[in-house]
Amino acid sequence: MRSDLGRTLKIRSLVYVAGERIPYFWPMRAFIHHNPLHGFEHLDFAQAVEEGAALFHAKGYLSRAQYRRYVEEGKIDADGLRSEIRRAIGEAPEILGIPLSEWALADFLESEAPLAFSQVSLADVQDVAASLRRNPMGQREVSRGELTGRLRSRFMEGQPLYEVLDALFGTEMATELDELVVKSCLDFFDEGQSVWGMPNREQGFFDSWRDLSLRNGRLFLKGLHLAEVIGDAKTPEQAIVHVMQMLGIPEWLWQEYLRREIARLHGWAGFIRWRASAEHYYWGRRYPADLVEYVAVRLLFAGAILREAGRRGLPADYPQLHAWMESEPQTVYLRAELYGGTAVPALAYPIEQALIGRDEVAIERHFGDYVERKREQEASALAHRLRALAGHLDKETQLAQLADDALGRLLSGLEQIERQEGMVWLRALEGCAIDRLAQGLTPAVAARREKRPFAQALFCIDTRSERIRRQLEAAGDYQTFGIAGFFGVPLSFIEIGKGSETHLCPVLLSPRNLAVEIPGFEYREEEAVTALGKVLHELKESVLTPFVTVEAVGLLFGFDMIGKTLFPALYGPWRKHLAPKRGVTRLLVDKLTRERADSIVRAVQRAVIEKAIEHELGLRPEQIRDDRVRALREVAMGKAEPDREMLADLGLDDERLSALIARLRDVYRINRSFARMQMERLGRIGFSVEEQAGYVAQALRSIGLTGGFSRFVLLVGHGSTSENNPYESALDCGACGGNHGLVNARVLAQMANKPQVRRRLRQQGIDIPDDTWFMPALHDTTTDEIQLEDVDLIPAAHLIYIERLRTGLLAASRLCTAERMPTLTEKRGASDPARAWRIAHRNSLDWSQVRPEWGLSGNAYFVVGRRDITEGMKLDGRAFLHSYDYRLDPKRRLLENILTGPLVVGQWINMEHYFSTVDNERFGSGSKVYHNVAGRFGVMTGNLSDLRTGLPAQTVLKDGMPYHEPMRLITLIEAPVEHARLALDEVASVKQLVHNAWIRFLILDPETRKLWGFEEGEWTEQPWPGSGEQLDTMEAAQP
Amino acid sequence: MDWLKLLPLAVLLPLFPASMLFNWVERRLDAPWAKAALMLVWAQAGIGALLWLAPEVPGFVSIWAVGTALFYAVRALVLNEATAWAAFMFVSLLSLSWLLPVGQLGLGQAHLYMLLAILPLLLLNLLSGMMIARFGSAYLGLVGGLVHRYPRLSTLIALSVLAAMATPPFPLFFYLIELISVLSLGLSIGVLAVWYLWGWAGVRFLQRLVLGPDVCRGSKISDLSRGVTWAMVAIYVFLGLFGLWEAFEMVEVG
Amino acid sequence: MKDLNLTPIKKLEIILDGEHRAFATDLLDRAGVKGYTIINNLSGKGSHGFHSGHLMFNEDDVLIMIVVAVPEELVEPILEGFGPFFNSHSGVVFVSDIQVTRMVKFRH
Repeated sequence: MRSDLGRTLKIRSLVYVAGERIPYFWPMRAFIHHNPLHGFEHLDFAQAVEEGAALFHAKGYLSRAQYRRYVEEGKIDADGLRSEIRRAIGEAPEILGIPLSEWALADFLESEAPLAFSQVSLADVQDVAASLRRNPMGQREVSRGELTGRLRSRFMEGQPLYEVLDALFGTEMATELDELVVKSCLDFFDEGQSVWGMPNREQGFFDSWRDLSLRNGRLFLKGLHLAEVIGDAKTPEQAIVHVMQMLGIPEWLWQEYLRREIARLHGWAGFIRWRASAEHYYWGRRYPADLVEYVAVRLLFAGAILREAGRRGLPADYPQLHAWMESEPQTVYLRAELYGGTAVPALAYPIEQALIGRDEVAIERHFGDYVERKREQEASALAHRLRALAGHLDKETQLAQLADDALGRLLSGLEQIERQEGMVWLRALEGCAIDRLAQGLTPAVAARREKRPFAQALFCIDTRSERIRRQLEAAGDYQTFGIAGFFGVPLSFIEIGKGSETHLCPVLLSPRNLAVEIPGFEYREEEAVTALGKVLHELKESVLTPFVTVEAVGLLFGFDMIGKTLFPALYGPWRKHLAPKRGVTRLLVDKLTRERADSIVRAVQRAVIEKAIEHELGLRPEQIRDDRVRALREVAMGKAEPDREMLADLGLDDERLSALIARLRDVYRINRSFARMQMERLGRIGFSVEEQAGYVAQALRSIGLTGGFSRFVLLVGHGSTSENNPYESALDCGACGGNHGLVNARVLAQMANKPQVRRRLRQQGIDIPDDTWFMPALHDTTTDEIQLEDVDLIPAAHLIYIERLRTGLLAASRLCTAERMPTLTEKRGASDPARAWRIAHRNSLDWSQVRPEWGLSGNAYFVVGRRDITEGMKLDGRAFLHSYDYRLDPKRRLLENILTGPLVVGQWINMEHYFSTVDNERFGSGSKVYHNVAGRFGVMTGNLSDLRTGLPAQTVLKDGMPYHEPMRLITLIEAPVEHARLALDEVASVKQLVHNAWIRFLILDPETRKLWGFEEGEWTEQPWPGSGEQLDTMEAAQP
Repeated sequence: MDWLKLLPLAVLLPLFPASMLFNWVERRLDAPWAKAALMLVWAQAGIGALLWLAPEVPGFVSIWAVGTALFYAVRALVLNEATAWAAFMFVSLLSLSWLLPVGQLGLGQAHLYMLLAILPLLLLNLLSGMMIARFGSAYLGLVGGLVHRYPRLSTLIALSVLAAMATPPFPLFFYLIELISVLSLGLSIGVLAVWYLWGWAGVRFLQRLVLGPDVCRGSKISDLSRGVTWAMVAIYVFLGLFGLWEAFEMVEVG
Repeated sequence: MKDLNLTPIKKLEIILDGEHRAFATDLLDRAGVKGYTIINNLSGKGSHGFHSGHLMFNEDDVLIMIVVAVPEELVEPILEGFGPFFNSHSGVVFVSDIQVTRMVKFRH
């Protein structure tokens, strides 16, 4: 008994560790950018990319051809590349009078294709030498031991067995397994997309799946006898142990084996991991599932498939495979070559015939011949490429005379540098980007302003704000600041008419306060038109609909479709008129007093009781009197005894009365404990005055705005508009958990306009003048429109300035679209403001538009400091800009907050874009065109596939080529060096990112006017034109 | 029974196991154009011998012929190499010649029809030669997904395979229709089964070679030249027209 | 003084990254322990260097210690369960002998 428990716990532990490398997958309704290699951040970047790429079968860097394009476009310069190569090689000898770094540079810049040492498995230096000198190759035997060793390391170190069999027999068991698992996942995790649901899901993933599978006739017919494989395993842990033992996998391999199993469908695994950890996720609580159950289901399917393969004669378990490899290594090797697609072409068919015939003598003969030919082929291919490379350096003829050991040094040197090729290119690309940033920075300390600006605006640090901030600053006397999009106020929000909470803050935080939207003065109830809309939408989901409604209602849909497709710009706004106009609303931000909360609860209870009486007793509203309702309420709450007479005229006898009271208590929840819970909930609403002052003070201090307030302080949240876009939430504000930032803006504005709050702030030293008004606004990043909100709250004295403000904002918006549209479309005149404006609006309404805006693509920089240092610099929407004034932050708390919050979010966004660009098929989600929404929380490609993670091709690629430049986030902090370094030391997570080179970290010291960068564990000085000192070359750096 | 007449014919119009001789010779030849030439010669010799010797074909031989055709068609289903595939389809096709109504065929006509029937397979061999010249082999594991980068080569391969599968408007389609119309029920069902297997084998072949994931590694290898492409397309256009003309003839007569 | 009924029992002190708290407590729950105590914001030094226990923006990066008293027969399964975890993460488990007065609280 005890050993079973130990085993169960051990399995849980194994699965937990195995799943750690898989990043979480959040439901796409609130898309979260995250680093796909988040589970590898404890490693150095280069090593993490290597291991992550191996685990997920993906590439970690762009191809050489793509980097070469960057050289042509001027984004990488050859000198930078040379110095990076030298840095990677270190001390290296000269070959034929040319340093190794020059060989490598010629290889990178001029060779047709990489030397591709990884494809060379048999040839060695002597063979290549022989080929170069056009001599015949020497004889060499491949010993049995060597062969077995190679095969073992390739196939017997934790690879899933079906993968091994696929590689050796050309079967497609892995695909079959994945499909079965995906189907089971779709059935279980569906969140209301399908009309017929899987039964008994409340029992949990494993149990409900097991129930079904034991009765699945179709699987049985396919030859998958799941009942046999499941045996009497009742729990997922038992099932896992059973299958692993059945397949004979040695226990020391279990960790690695499970790791690879889970990584195969990393989208689904990531989703299950997240779901199991999300405590408030409705579907997760209702239908529980965790990673151990997933692994059990997967392994049981795999076991069944392998059993079936075993019946067909394949070596379907570990001991059999091992024995086969030991006894017939030549056969195994040839099979691996044939089905792995690496066979010598001319010999492919004869080998296949020999293998099919299982002719041992023929196989042995073929083997010797094959190895010979393969060696020759590899050696001559490598020699050919080497000769071409030497040709670029005019050393072709001397190459053949090179001694063997010199040739060996050349080859190993080139092999080493090609292994690091990706990192070298990446660093060269980043180096140029850093130079460009350094060139454009201006030392701060601008002159003091004589009069305050016309308006100040706080934008989200999002890269898309950079353009509009620039345009706004140029349009008039405006001062802009960058702050995290949730304005430092984490809150939970209940929208009007909705029943659930949304968390409007970064996913790293859990908000403690709740804000509620209530109707304002003119709010109208929803009318009949929306009822029709609701009916139509429900019709779409019923099974019988296609048979009935096409004739009846289809025409309406057709009309809609034609309008949306052919005339989106005209039809869209008209259609919006059909939907009810959202009236004015207010946000409840202040804490409720106990009395108010109590009266709210009473009012709700009264309304419920009225409805209950109407429903249960069939009385009409005019027959229900207030005092009767009150009496019933008192009784249900246990505060009074039933007053028989008063209730007798309701027509109730004792029995029916008690039944009614019981129903009120249980079904309608008019009882003490529920009322208490409601009071608690209401207690969560709002912020106390101290809290409000705290948040406002922190927000203003963190951006360095503590004086010189203008008449208007705009709080501009951002969101985007698009149609038919499952990735809609990805274009919204990440700092607000994938929602738009208007609510947070409204909340902070309301707090900052409150006299009590301002009084407290004055005590703390932040003096906000009486005529300063905080106003929320929404920046629509698709159309660049800035919409002012809560305009009806503006004090009268400010109204005369509104026109000027609106004009300024409109001008900035239109110029911003004029700057942006040429990047999205090749249409002529896209840079004309009027035309650009129209195009942008059309993008937001067109349901066929796969790229309504570029979003955060192109992000490269994260600048924390005063706006003065980047003022006037054209960053093309590629920078996260966070305002910060170190002089107001002596204890470095604010800088630490910026590092630990917004910077981490920025790094997640940057890494998401990086990996989706370098390998869109594995790390990204492929083309949007093939996406199908799965279960309402994710997308799949085609009919049945893994949940696609990452960004789609249309977001990061343009015509198949990368649009986003994949680089690590170049972070710049404007503060004295010690100040910044000490702050960094305090934030363990960011310190790890910097030390492991996940971000490139720079410090601009405004007092000594020096620029420092973190390289390989040390702080080195970087050249900066604004420093006023001459630094001769890049190498003149001091630690 | 005319053993003297039947035995040589069993080699030339392959009946299993005599068909193994053809395959052995075919394997010995390395160059695809040589294989094509072998096919041409063998087929013409076979049909010529059939008409010249004009034996009485006993019932069991017809059944055996259909059996041979079925056998080779099934084997073609799982083949992975282009020239071997062409060879097996060739044997399957040729063995159906036993079912021809010998008395009603003129000599010139018979030679022409035979040529047109095997022409797609000959061209497929030539195309295999071009594939081997470019990729080193015509083996389906190593060469695949041609449509991604080699549209001309893919088109011609597709045309060849479709013609070999006896799809209209290529003449083989109409020949088979005519053949079935004169055969007994049992034999025609056999021929239809063979035809079905040809279709299956052809589609599988195309699926891996032309469609499917892009497997070829070579990056700068060129597609077929325009001249060759147009020449081959012209041949197929001619074949198609000829087939349509045959169709008209059939309609007129029947 | 009344006779205190002291029963010997084992104490486990599990120190690990706060990030893995949910995993550790889930494992203990499944092992059948009746309760545990968690001590937060620890600092310490391990083979990875000094770890300062500063509470940050995200609550993940601190060391915690879980103290749990278990009957002897649960010690081995629990250690076996944590085995794979500590193979790849920093942290320790200390096992010691203690005595408790109300045994019923610790045993099923």
